[in-house]
Amino acid sequence: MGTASGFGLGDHICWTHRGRREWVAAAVAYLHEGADAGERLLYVADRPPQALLDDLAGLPGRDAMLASGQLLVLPLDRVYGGSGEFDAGVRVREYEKMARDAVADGYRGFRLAAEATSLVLDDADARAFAAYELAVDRVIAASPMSAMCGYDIRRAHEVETLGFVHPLCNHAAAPDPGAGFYADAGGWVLTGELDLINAGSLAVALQHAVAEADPDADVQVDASGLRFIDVACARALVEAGAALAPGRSLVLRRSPGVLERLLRLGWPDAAGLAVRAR
Amino acid sequence: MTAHLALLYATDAEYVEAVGAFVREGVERGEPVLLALPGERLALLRSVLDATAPAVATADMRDLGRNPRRIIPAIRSFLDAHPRRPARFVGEPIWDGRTAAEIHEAEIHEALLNRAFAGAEVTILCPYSTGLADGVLAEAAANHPGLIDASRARPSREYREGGLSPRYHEPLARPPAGAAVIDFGLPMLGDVRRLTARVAGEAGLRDDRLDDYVLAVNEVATNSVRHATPPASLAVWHAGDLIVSQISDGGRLADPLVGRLANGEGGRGRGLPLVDRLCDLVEIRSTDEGTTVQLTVRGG
Repeated sequence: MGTASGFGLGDHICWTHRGRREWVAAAVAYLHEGADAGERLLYVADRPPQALLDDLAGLPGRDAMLASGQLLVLPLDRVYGGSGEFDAGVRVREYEKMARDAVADGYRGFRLAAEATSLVLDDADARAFAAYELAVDRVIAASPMSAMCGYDIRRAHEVETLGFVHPLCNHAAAPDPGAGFYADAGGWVLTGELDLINAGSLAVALQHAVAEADPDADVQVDASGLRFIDVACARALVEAGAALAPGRSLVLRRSPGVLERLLRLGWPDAAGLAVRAR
Repeated sequence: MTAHLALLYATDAEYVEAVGAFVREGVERGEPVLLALPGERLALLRSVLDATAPAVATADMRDLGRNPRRIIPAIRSFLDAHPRRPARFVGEPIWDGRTAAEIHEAEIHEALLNRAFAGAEVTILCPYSTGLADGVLAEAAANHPGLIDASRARPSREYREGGLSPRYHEPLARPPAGAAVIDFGLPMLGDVRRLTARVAGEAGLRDDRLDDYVLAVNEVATNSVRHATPPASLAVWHAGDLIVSQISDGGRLADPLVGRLANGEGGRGRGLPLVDRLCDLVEIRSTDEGTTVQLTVRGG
């Protein structure tokens, strides 16, 4: 995933970069495709209003789109408030509304490019922000919307975890950029090669999924894309299952046989965890 | 008080009489008894077992003890499941046809039994055929505080205190020249898995067994990444139908019982017992110079 093109409605992309030049190039390419597809665009970054417009100088039709209402730009603090202050639930409901409004106004959908590094400048903020990204996963899966989230790899914390909770990630530094726990249109997805390097990310993602789980339902996870999982990551699954409401389970569907054997041998009496081949 | 006795037997009749007497005595006293013998030796004891069923638990040592590191955890689980004390265990870890490497592991295991169950109220009887090699019988005498020979029990004059076989300090053979080798750190665990899968796949390991072996090698490599100074290295090769991986690092495993006793604090000790379950033979050597773990499975 070298260039920010080829994305469409339904995509939620973690775009890591090394500074403004790289980010602006990616954001402009991404927004340009949305403009061509007839989508409403929103650009968000931690910049004063005029600088936001400067970022988009390379976007064809920028001024006409601003005038017509197809293109919106907002400073980061107008959208998210200060670091750690914003309400993830409120925020994602606003995005849902913006997607609906875009369609009502005659656009094909709603496309967001947001540079969010300022919100993840320490580990705790970054881990908390992963919960918001998981909520965005679900909004995007259910709305005519896509989003590209920019993180400066030199300043953002827990970049691995933030990439892990996005269905798509350009994170060239990660051994398996496809590894993740996130939501798509079918629900929670656990995918890729999971080992010690992403065990911490998996634990954070699962804590968020458990925290917002419906106490009256099992948590269903599609594991069909799982190509490897080690003991450290299996432990994270066991701990997540144990943290669910009594009688509720983390259900791993379409799970590879090796995970079933790993859990049976390692945690024969684990409660709250079910592994299914189908 | 733990007793750990070697039974030196010459004939099947001696075997049935001595093991039978030990089992019957345990059952009469209401002691839990676990019998882990090679399958054909269990069959010899059928009449004893029929008479004492269901008071005696049995296991085929060719499965349970194929990798001798699994035996102590099995005894531990048995004791946990049968809190009544004292208890009895009969374990025959060495039989004709065991490879030299398996015998060394069984000897390390026998010595560690003296540590693992020191203070636990369990009596352990280990049958040895007097037809085994002299060296094996000499190690049996060194690893057991007591011997039973022609129905007479006596202390072993050759018993070695400390519960550590000198085999534990003998280095493993270096990988052969044709082995596939890779140095690795945390970001390269995927490369470790791919190299293992390639060599094991070439040697005929397939499907679930291939997945399980890759999981085992990954787990040991993960321990190296976690606990030792990088780089660690992996060598993988096959010899006949055996697939062998050797993982080496500069760290030291202080406890020779590592992985054999109950899971460590916070459940972090699950990796090595899992590896022991997944592999046919697990050999660990640890000195001040570093630690080497060798994992072997049969292919095909």
